[in-house]
Amino acid sequence: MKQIVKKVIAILMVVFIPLSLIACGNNNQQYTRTDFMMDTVIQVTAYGRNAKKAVDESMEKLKEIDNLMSSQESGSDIQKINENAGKKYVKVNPETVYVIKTALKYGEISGGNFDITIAPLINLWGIGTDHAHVPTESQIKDAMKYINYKDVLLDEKNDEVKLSRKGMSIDLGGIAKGYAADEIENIMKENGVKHALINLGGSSVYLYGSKPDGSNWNIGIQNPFGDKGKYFAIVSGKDMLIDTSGNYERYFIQNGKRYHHILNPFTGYPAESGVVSTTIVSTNIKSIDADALSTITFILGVDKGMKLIESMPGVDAIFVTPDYKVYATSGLKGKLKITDSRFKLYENR
Amino acid sequence: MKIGDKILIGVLLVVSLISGYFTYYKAFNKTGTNVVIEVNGSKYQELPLNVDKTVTIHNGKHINVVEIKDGKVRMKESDCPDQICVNTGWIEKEGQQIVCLPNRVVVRVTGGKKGEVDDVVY
Repeated sequence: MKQIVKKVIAILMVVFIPLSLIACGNNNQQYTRTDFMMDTVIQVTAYGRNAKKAVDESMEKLKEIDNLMSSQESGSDIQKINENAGKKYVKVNPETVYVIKTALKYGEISGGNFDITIAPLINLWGIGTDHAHVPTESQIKDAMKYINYKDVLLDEKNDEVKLSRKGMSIDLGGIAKGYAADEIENIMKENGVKHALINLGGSSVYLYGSKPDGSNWNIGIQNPFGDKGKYFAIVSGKDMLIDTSGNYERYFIQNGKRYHHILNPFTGYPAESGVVSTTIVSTNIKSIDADALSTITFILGVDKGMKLIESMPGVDAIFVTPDYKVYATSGLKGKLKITDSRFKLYENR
Repeated sequence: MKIGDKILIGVLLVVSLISGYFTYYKAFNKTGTNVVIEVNGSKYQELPLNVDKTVTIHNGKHINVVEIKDGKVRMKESDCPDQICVNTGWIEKEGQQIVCLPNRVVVRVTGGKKGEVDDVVY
């Protein structure tokens, strides 16, 4: 009888000890908040004891960044800079200076394809607003006169910015979200959060840490020809950022032709480089860099974009062309899985 | 066979059945259980996905109609200019969402087991 009791206890221990461990693992509190900011939908999910605090702080920080860097918010640094174009230097927040400085660096790297002084052209087209229309040739020519990132003057010592010519204006829409993701990453670290999923507007997703169970996150890449949420491939990873630019995000159709929101500063029209979407994947760079690079690769197209990305260690890119071809840089081997068989993958071109 | 062996076999059988059930559940049940409607970034209502219901949301001047039917949910009507939310159609899996950006309404499916991805980047 004693022996049986011993055995039963032994069995119970074998069964229940692992069970209690599993229960501890699942005790990972999850907290999600969705909000409308930066002209889009923001969703931040964190896991662990400080999840709520970290997510709330992240939302606060996003609001702050939006208030500083939005061209829509009245009294923002960007509005102040634009209002004083051609007049004088404007004192702004050091964070704004950092984002503008980074944007100018990518102006240089991309040979002017990424240009924050493109705002007059953005306003002219109005893509994403209810007054979107195709401007006349002369309107476009006129707006293009004000585009040149080299005319943004920075006085870093005093945190001052000036646009050298009247009529110029800047827009940080192509880079501010990336900066925001970097700031959220810092907030997660400060709060000791180990796992979080940060989705800024759907086009920038930051995988902070692994999933709570230690496995990789799996992120679908939007099928450029399908409904929103339909993906053609899955990228797996942790501590990774994924940033997509596509011609389907914001657009309007006039006389049967589609006009998307990624404008080429050299032509004045939506970029036509033979790609429908580009995605930057990296475990190595900051989100602010990825945000700029996804726009740049979209404007550059497969050949030039591929060359640029392959020259950057730890950065990868996925290009999709209108004929369902997918070109991926060499570092994506094993991380990218095509799930829609209509798409054909060409690696390491 | 001693009585201890019988107990051992019995317990192992139960454990394997339970774990088998959970594995099965995890692998095949990807459909969500709840619908969360968020307005202006905060939760407005949470409803079960398996009870048919139509909810009309008045947010300021804006109107959105969310329809839950046959275990799926859609934005049936919206007075927004782009109609992206209405064109999204029916959703049913956890993590899927319908966003009406102009009217600041989000409809999310939650609660079930995850699909094969944690999020979609577009």
